[in-house]
Amino acid sequence: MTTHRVLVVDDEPDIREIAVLALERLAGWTVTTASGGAEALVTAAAERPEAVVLDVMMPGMDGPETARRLAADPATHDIPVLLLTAKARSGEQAELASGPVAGVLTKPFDPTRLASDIERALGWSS
Amino acid sequence: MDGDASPRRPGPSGTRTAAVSDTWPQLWHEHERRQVLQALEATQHQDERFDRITRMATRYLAVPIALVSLIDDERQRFRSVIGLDRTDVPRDVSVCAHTLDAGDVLVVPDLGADERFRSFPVVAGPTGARSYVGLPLVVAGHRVGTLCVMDTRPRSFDEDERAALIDLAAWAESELLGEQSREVVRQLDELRRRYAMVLDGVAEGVVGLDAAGVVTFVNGAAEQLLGWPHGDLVGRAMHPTLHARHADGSPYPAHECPVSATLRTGTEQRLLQEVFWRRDGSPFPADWSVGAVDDGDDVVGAVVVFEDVTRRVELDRIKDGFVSVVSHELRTPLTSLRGALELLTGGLLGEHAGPDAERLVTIAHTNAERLARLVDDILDLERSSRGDMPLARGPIDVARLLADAAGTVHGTATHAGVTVQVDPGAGTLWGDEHRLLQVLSNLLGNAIRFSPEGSTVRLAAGTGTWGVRIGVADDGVGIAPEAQERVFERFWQVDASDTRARSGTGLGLAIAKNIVEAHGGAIALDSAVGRGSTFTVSLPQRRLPGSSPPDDETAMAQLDVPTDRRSAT
Repeated sequence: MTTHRVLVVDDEPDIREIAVLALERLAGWTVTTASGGAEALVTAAAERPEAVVLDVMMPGMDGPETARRLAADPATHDIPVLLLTAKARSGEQAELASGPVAGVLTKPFDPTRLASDIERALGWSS
Repeated sequence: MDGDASPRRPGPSGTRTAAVSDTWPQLWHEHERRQVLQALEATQHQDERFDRITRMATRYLAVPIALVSLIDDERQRFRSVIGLDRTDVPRDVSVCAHTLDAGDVLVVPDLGADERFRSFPVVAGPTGARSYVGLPLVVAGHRVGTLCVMDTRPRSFDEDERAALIDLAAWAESELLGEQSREVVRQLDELRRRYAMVLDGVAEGVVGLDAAGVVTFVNGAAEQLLGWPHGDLVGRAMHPTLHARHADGSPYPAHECPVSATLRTGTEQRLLQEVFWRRDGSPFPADWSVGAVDDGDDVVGAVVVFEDVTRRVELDRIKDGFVSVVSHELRTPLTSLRGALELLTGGLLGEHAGPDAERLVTIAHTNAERLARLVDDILDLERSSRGDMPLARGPIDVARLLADAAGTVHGTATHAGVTVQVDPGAGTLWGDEHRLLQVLSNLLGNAIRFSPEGSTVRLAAGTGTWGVRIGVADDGVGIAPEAQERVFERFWQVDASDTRARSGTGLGLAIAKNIVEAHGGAIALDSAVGRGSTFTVSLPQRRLPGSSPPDDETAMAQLDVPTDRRSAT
């Protein structure tokens, strides 16, 4: 099992906690979390994770805006971003996928498969 | 031609044996003939025109009697008469009826010697008519009446006299035709007026176009919807005036307009949510259709019918937004709930499960509750905003209502380290106690969530002639002016990183507003950033027999003054 370092950004503390349990306990990855877009920009630049998993609907700076800023910042532009969305419509998901992101994952997600879903979306071979 | 003209009409036996296919055109013909007759009889009689003809006939043929008559199924009626009473003649004793039926000139040199006419009143009576010549008058292909002259002595009528009578008959026919045309025109005008009235009563806009796409008719709804009153649109080309640009403002070339295709090919078309432009340059979305008007062969125009769908588009937008937000709001706790359960039941956490498992059960539990609360709130909101939330009204003791409301948030307040101070006031109000309790505990819950630890949330009531006012004040962060307008919107939530502040469903205030308004009251917010917020619920007083509410606003006054609020903590 390959280990990875990822940043999970979600405004819902319960969801952050479940993602951490899923990725650290089950997959053995190293996970950092942020509760919003602004915090994510700072953390991503400082810690340079291998990928950022970003919730879409967050108060303040939302997911797509955070993704744009990560892509525009030379310190973070090469870090792949996955969006995590509760938006169910295919039209909404297609619009999200058209941004500077590597892929879109949907909520509710299955935590037992979260690591493999991220690997597949980013083309990492596990 | 001196003798009787032979009747051309088939005899009774011939009529009886005729096949239906032969009879039908005759019946139809007869129906049309009656219509022409009715039109002629309905006109304003200008009999002076026919008097000239009968005068000329008496002079030219040197006879005392001359008539222009219309003949229907029952009677011969005179349009002009010289030498006779102006009384209608029953058809069965009318000489002219024979002329009409014969369809040709009828000459009777001696009426007294003719078996058919001998006993007719005009012959046997005091008039004593002895000779007759008459001609049928044909209008629009139908025999409708006669021109005739009679003499009181037996005589024949020579070729010149008959020719003169034929000319005079032609003159009479053209006068009748003129009358009929004027009547047809009048009826058409009447029809057009009625259609215009009908179309004016229609809620949809109706615009009539000629073959070039120029407006020829606009109904009232169209004038109003398009902002072109008083028929100002008539005479203008429709497309460049109403339809020249798409919704995004880009040009809409005339040759791409469905109207031009309909005028070319005659096909009917329906278009959804295109944009029409009003006279003042503002657009509105419209569902519309265009159909061709033809004259039997060619397309001579088109009719456009449209409906302003602004409200429907807006409702669709709100509904889509609501569905999208509801779906997000439901999926958020569902994600935590499902995630926690998957991790637990998968048993994949292994022997480290102890504290993690406990934590996951808590997460599942709180999110299941949040989900249930959300579903309840959504149902409440839908019921209350549709206005069919049943209210079980009764008298409510204000002091007890406030005490009960404080009781519902006791646990939350203690947990948050916030004191709830109640100034119960007095009086009675009329309403649904359970629903009003829901409103107050929601307002208190919000106040507690946004209050710093150690602070006080105040609940107070005041009564007066205007009714009952209940205020909920906190010393929290306050709400910015631009956000104050939105706090009562569904799913609106303040941006807050503090979990405690964000545990609401975002529907509570929208529901509270609906409940208060269903009681005929109002809910208002007074807030400033850094100075806390005060929500005030005003409910109209319904006085109970024998009760007279005291004018007591002192408790409310304390809430209304921010400096007092500060010092109260």
